[in-house]
Amino acid sequence: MPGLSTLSIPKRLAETVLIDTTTNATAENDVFSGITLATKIYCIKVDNSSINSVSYVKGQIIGQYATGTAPGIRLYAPANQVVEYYFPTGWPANALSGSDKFSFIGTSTDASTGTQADPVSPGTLKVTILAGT
Amino acid sequence: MSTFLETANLDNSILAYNIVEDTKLDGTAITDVTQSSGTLYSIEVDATGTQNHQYLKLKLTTSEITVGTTTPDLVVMCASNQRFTLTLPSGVAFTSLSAWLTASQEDSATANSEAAAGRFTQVRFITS
Repeated sequence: MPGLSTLSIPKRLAETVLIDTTTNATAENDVFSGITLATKIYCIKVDNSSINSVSYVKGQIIGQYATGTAPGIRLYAPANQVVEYYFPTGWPANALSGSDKFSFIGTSTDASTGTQADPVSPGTLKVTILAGT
Repeated sequence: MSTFLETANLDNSILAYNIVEDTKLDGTAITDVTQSSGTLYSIEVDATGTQNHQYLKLKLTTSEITVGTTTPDLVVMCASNQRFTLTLPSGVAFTSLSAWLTASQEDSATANSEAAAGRFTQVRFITS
C-alpha cells in the first residue's frame, strides 16, 4: 500500500508491575532491587481518589529517598482524582543503569525538601508503576 | 513572554486543543501560556544536544511565578541529550499553566547552564 511503512515496536511495553496500596511519606526505597527488567518507567498511576486534598508522588534516582534533596520527578494528583502519567518511550530517557536505583514517597507536602507529611487522611494514596527495559 | 514561545489554538468547534511550544525554554518562566484554564494532556521534551540533565518544572495552580521561590506542582528530570514524551490520557486540570527549566531539581534553582551555553531544549504542551 503506497505510503505505508511498518516499523518495529518494542515487543513489550512493560515487564514489571509495582503496586503500592498505601503510599505515604515513609519511603519505598530501591523498589526495583533485584529486578533486571525495570530500567525505565513507562507509567505511573497516582490514585488519589479517596483523598480530599492534593497529593504528590516524589521520586528520586537513589537507593534511599532523601528528604533533604528535591525529587527528580514529582507528580501531582488533585483531590479525589486518579491521574495516569505515561512515558511511551520510558523515563528516565537515559534509563536506570549501574548504581541507579529508584525510590519514592507519597506526600501532601508542597515543598520539595524538608519534612514530608503523609497524604491527608482519611483515604489512602495508591501508586501503580509499570516498568520495563 | 518569551520570543521563543508559540501557541496554536485549534478550531474550538472541532478540536478544542492548544499546542504550546517553546524552542528555547530556560530558567525564565513562561507563564500562563494558554491565557486561560484548561487541561494538560501531553508534554514533549527534546533535549537533544544537551550535556547535562535538566529539570522541567510546571505550575498548574497559579500564574504568580517567581523562579527560585515558587514550588512547582510537577517536576520531570530531562536526561541529557534525550527526548521523551509524557502523556496524560485523562489529563490534569490547570487554572494557569506555567513552565521553566533549570539545571537543578531544587525549588531554589534559577540557573540553566545548558541554555546559557547555547544548548537549548524544546518543550511542547498539548492542552485543552
